[in-house]
Amino acid sequence: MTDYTVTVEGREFRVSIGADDVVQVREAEGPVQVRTVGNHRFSVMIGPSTYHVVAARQDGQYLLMLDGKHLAASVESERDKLLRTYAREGGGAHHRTEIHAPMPALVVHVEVAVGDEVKPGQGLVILEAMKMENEIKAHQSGIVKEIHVEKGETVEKGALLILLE
Amino acid sequence: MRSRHIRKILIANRGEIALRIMRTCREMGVETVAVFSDVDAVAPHVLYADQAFHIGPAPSSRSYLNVEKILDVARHAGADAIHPGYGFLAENPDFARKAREAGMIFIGPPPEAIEAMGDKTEARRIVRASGVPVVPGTEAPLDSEADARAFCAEHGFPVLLKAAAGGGGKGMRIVHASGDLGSAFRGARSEADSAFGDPRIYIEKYLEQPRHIEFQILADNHGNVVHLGERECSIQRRHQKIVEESPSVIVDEELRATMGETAVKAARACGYANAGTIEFLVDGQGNFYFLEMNTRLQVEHPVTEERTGIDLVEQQIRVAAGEHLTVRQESIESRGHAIECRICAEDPDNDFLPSTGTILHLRPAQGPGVREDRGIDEGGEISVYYDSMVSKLVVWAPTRDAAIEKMKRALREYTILGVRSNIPLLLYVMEHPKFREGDFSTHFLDEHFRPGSLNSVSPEAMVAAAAVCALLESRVAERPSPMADGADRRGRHHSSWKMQRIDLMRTRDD
Repeated sequence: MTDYTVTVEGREFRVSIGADDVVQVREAEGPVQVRTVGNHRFSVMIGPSTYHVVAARQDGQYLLMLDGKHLAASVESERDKLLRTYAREGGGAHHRTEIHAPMPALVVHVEVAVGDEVKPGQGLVILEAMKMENEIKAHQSGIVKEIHVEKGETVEKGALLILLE
Repeated sequence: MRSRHIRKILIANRGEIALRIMRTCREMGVETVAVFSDVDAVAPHVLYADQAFHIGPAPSSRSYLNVEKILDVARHAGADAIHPGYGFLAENPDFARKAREAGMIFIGPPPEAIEAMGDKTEARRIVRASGVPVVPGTEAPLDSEADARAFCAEHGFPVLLKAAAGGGGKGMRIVHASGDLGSAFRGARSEADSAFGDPRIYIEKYLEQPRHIEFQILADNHGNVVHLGERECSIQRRHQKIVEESPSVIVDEELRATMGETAVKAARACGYANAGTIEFLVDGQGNFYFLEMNTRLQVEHPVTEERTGIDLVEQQIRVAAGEHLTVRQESIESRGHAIECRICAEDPDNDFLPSTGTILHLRPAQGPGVREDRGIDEGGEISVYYDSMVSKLVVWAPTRDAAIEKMKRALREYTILGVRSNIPLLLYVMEHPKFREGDFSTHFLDEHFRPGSLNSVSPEAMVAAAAVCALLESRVAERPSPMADGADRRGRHHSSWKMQRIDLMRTRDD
């Protein structure tokens, strides 16, 4: 089961995709069934109501058309959302970047040492939460100034993990 | 003029109009020759034609506007006639003349008529001389404020002052009352002087809520001229028509007969032959004034075809071949109501910015009473080189109300991905009470449409959209990572970094 926040024309929907493409939308009253019709074409049934949705992914965004209207949507998995929130909050002034834990988790591995030079996208810490490993990555380049956690440690949501400069 | 048999026509155009012309050619057993630029090698009009010739690079100045090249191709292909469509070379008298000199039939009016009607001042002079009303105005620039006052005393307010060298609204003033005339006159002169280096200004009567109503003309080379009724094209954005319909709600039988006769008179005045359109502005009191003549087949000609059952392209070809018009004014039967919507790749939510890109998906409207003229398919590209019109959606129904309902239904059926379209705007027009009541002018969009006027879909439809997006996202995440760092072994989750790598790979694969 993967949880997503889908923003359609500024409105947020919480959608879970389970095994065999079982779809649950928190905002929907009944069950939602999505079937692929063809290239870019989907059938959606919400209870007995049918929708013919056409959708394409373009530049990381979704473009859809339905009932004479174009819709733009973006999708974030719950984990992406947390990672983004904490990366943003941690981004302090003067090139100091604090890396926080996006969720309560077990520190599985610290992939860097103090003094290491890191590049954007490079893994820093692997956290385990909800039986899944999440790699916390650098969003910008820098030097590892401080490491506040070690392997095997449990951290709370928001805990400072690493300081980059 | 002796009748000549036309066996093979070169269509000097692209897109929907080239296809539309070729379809009639095929029905008439006439062979078709397409021309194409670099970017149109597999365009629908090329695939449809019997023969096709490359004429140059994408910019139209070096392909679809290249007179010599197109004539060379026509000679080489053995075409005995050229149809210019609309736009490009359709109203270029030089092209019409050279085609004729090369021994080919130009399917359009004589070059002299194109020339006469192409010069707006000359056109006004010619039609006025034959008794066609034009918007009252001075033919010579005003010498003084006193001249302007004399004009207003005769014709009343409001009036429009406009720069002789004009364009783009510079040096233009609308004056509603006598007290404002002096300052407007001085203001317009100084603005015209600084914008164009020419302070001369004209004055004309200003029509406040004008409607754009045009008449379709058919004329042969034997002096027969008929009109096929009107099309109302008042729904415009920046002088670009987006919705056309026939009949007009404000034209009754009597006005139709009067305007139609006047249109025929205007066509005769310039020695017209073939299909043409006389455009009028009509004020709130039913006064109509000649605006201009378009010496070609119009974009919106299907509206007339749907109402009269007459194939205008067929008539053009027959007349050009020297045949007599078989259509008589009394025998034209117009039925029901037709509406055309121009579907364009532009974003009404974003200041009508043109939207370019590849058409990833296109599924047109279908069903009873729906006609679509389109020159692009899935996989085609809306490029910066040509206009942004994707399609012309035309409906016919017995009544105007039924036609509006049919158009709403058709617009909701239409789906297109890859570019943004103005379909939501067209729906806005169809749903607007003022449009429905027939209470509108050429200012309709300026008066009513605001950014944010467009409704979105129902909340439940949004749920459907969200469900599809999440499912697609889960499939993107499931794709094996192209990077050999084993990132995927940690499961289905992904960070934005991995997503970007997948995007890059997909782009390359595409």
